[in-house]
Amino acid sequence: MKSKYINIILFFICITGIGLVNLFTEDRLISEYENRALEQFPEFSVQVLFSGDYFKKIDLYFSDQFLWRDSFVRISSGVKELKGLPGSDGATIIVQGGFNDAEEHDSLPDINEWGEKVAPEPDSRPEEVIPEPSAEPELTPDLEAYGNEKPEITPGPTNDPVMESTPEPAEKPTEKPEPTPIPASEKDDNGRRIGRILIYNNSAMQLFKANSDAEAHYANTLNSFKERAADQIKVYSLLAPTSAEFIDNDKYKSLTDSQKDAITRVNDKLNGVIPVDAYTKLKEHKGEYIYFRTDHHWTALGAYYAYTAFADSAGFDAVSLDRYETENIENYLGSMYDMTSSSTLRKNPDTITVYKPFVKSEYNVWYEGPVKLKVIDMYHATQKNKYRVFISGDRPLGIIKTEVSNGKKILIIKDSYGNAMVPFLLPHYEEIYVVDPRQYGKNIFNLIQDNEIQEVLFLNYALIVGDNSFADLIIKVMNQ
Amino acid sequence: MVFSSLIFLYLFLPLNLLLYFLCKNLNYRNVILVLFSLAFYAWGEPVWVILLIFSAAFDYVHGLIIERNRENWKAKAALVSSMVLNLTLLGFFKYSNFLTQNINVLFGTNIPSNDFHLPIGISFYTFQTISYVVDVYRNETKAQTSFMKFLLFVSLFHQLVAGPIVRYNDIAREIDDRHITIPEMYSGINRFVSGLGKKVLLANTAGEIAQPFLNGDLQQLSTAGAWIGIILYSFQIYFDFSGYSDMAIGMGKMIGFHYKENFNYPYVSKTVTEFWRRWHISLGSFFRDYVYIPLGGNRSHHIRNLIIVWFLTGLWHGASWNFVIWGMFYGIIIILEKKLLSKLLRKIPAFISHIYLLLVVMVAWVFFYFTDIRKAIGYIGVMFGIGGNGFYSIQDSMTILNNGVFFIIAALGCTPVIPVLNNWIRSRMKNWKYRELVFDICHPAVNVILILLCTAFLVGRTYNPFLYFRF
Repeated sequence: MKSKYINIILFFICITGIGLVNLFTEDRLISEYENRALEQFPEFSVQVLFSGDYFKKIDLYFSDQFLWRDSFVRISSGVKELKGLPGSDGATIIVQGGFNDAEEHDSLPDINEWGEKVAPEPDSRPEEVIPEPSAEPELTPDLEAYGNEKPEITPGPTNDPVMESTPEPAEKPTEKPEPTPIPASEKDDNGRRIGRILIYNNSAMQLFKANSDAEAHYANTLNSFKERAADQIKVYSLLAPTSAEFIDNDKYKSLTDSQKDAITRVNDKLNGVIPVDAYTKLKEHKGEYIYFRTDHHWTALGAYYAYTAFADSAGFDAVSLDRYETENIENYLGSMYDMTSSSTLRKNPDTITVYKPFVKSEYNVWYEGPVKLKVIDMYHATQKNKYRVFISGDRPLGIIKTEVSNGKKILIIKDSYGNAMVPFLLPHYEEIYVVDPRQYGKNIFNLIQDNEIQEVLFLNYALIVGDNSFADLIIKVMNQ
Repeated sequence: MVFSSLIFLYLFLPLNLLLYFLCKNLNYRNVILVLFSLAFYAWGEPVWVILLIFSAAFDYVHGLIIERNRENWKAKAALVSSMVLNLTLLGFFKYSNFLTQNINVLFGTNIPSNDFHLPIGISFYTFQTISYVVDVYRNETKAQTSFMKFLLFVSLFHQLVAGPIVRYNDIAREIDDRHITIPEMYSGINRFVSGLGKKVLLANTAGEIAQPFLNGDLQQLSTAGAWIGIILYSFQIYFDFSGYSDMAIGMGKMIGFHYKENFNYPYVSKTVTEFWRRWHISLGSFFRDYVYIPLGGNRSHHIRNLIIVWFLTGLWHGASWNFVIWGMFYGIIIILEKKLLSKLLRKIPAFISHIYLLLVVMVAWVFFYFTDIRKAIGYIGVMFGIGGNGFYSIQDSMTILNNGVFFIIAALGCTPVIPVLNNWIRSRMKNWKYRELVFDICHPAVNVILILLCTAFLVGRTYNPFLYFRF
């Protein structure tokens, strides 16, 4: 009979003990592991209480701040890996919610990557921006940490010398594509997008689901951009296929729709926009290390081949890779590892090779004012998200002025795939403008007019034509 | 609040049990339970907790009126008044939008919908109070004179939001007189933890794996994939629901309440009739005692009675036609079994009748899952090779390979293999003096591992890496 107490005592120790320690553990502001701000204890108001949100927020707070959160997450993903049968070739499909996009996380708190509270009001932030963030990296404003800021938060044109006193562009009467909602079925219970990842051959690949409506929407958006831009402006579209496109196994290849076909369908619909054929170049080199295995991006080598395709389209000679000095960054575990926590990936980290620009340049990122950064920012080599070494990560607007005085100016509207390719363009342009439509809060045509930009390159990975959201962001920067 | 949340497990429950054990007086203990129950309910329904209290007060008064006016027209009037109010509340919150939508479609009218959401657990607690008033009227139980105790019966958080539907009769005595004993507490803990494991480790995982099959594009779905999807959903719904009942029964036992079993390995049944004696038992017996038998049971209008019961069973599960179809589908099969198939089903080999039962149940779950009836029919079509994308796809075999161990554990979990094994080991060690000690050490070890694993899974479920990823 006495031994019956063991069960009872252990049960109570377990729930009360963990409960108590948890209660007295200090809250964290951010999770390095998850790369996001953690939920804080909600502020009370009668309204929030009656809407039911107050307790929901406490639930979120409780789980976000739970004791040994990161270890518990690791345990759960470790145990989940045990549910497969032995003897298979190790190929796994992981279905994951969490492919974040612009619509989500708009309520992320105003905390930057290092857990500092940053004021959300545009006027109070410029002081925090230090001109040389690489020297004092802790203060680099990094929007990725608080992500998809609402456009209202970014400062108005008056704060910004580049944008100063720009008149509204006379709108040409064109058909404006309207933002479209994403079908509900793509979201999981938590409202996160569902994505499928194949892990095969030590490499994780995002699987692609073609969507002809979204392809048309993207092509129409670019066409309408071309129509509304001044006639002499050349507009290019480069859609980069991702690693899933080059799976060397027919069985697994059948899991993902053809990106080549999707790119072709988009290109066929383009009107006045010049398609850049990166696909063929990448395919020629598919045996090389052109994609990361633990990250959804291409490597700088992959970006280089796409750059040679762009050189062909834009009519300049690509610089040979031999001209570049390289440096390697070892032990990179990228986004795919974060998504899957796969032990296969953990055992096979990536190496990032950077090609150091030989052209002198000055690179400014614009928030409220300019922040001087580096085109290859080795500060990030020591951080978690090492892919940010390329132009220091995603920024609303980056302006690179080079020593090349040929008068050529290009605007690149890009997702993070663009980051690795931009450094290769330095020898060819006097000014390079890099806009990330997820963050950019102003009108894109104003930027083009004010700076007399002659070329625009849309540079994104092919998976953006799987749904409407990226095209909708381009519409946003065209109309706002 | 839900049982399978960190805040319940590590704040609400320990606090509740601690305060409960610190008080020795049963009245105080009842007050603590009521306060915790109201807090539990208000956590999810900060507004409609008022409705719960109102509903309880109303039926409490009606119970008293009936008790004091036995053999008198007032008792009947009170019964009718209570039924009308209970069903009106349920109808208003649960079915009014469904009704207006159908009227609008039928008559082309444009009656606006209200935008109240369904108060959590209203279907469960309304049935509990109905059963109480009817039982008092039938003189099967005495009316509760203390409102606090009655509120305890209605709001007790163990079974408030997801059943089992506990009848007042079953716990009337224990409200006034219950005891904590060590063996009961011991087995209550085991029961609670196994329920938690069923919900968090099995149901949630099955749900995650099933997602791409159930929510994907039907044109892309293969026949094998459709079966994988619905098998996983069958796992999910069973482990989810029975896990909840286990947790409720376990928590009841810890403090001296005995709720009736709600599930008895339904998937091992051989006929649909048997399945419904093993699935959600408290609901089936509610309809039996308060609808089917009063209508005349199998003595008069047998088929009509069955149709009414199964129509209501379907409708109770949700205000949507697919649930009605789901209920009626069972009703028709049960009528067939009773009138035509009973001899045949007794003659054929057991494994064939098992397969028959599982087929019926899985087809029925399709109607339960898809609120869109066209989608349900399309899905069933794919299951039987009509439409869809071929017989089999690479994703199907990868799902099985990647989750093979899970499939085996889940399938075994649907059968009584663990209790059978438990008893077998016990009988093998019959004459060994350390037998009980071995169990008393193994159970807590398993429990602690399960709790920690469930915690990891619950935390893991909220793992939400911000990847800025989509593009």
